[in-house]
Amino acid sequence: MAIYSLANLTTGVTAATAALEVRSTSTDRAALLEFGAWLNAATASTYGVGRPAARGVTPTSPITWLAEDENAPAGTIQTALAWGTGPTVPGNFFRRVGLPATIGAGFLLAFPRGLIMAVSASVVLWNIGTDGAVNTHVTGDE
Amino acid sequence: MAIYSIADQATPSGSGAALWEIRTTATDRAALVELGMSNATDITPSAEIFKIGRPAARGITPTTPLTVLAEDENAPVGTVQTAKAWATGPTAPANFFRIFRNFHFNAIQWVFPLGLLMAVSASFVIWISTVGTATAHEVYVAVDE
Repeated sequence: MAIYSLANLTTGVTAATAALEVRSTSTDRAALLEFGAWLNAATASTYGVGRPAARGVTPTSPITWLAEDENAPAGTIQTALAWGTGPTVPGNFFRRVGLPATIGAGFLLAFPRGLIMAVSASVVLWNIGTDGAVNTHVTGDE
Repeated sequence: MAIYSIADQATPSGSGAALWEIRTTATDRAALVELGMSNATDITPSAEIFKIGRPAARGITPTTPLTVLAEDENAPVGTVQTAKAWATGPTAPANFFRIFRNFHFNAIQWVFPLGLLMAVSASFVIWISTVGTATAHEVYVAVDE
């Protein structure tokens, strides 16, 4: 197990869609430890973190997270900002956060024991309303 | 023991009332380890006083309670529930563990590293003693159950 992380600037801001998806492969589980997001636009926004009812299909240009220890093996967990078919809304959320229309407003959510993802699973940062794009990062143990 | 959490959106019904209640069942104790609140709408012109405590009497007949979600998919299903409406609401705690003056777009994350313990058939409430503009609050809780 080693620590990995990755930052993205989200692009999807439409209400009731995913802004970001963190996806495990069919071979590796992971534990998400930290989720952070800060507004890149002056838009009052409400986000949720949850497990989608169905994860996204055909992610567009997913990015693999980065090892925080250069000696660790390459990670396998990926993030996606767009999909052929987007993730569907979680039934309920682990976290919900409302942000004012101020660039730089944001949040840092910690999961000290890990938000566990099974293989071939995902966790999404969800646009509950019409939201601003966010500078976001996720950290996890894989 | 495993970590569970749940989020919801709740709007104050007025001053001197519970905003949100975290409830144990008759079978399982739990430890509240984190509680957070934020809002996307300015609550001015009047500030809000936001507190957490054990109600003198917990709510009766909660309306559509939500059950906490396992943060580990391999953990058993959780039993702690949350509610934001009741046939009879919780009554005011005598004293409070935390208090916060919510103004404009303030947000709060309270962490209890050793856990704020709940017995069976007990509860904690977010209590609004003085309401500001009654706008929607985003709330979440993490518990060890």
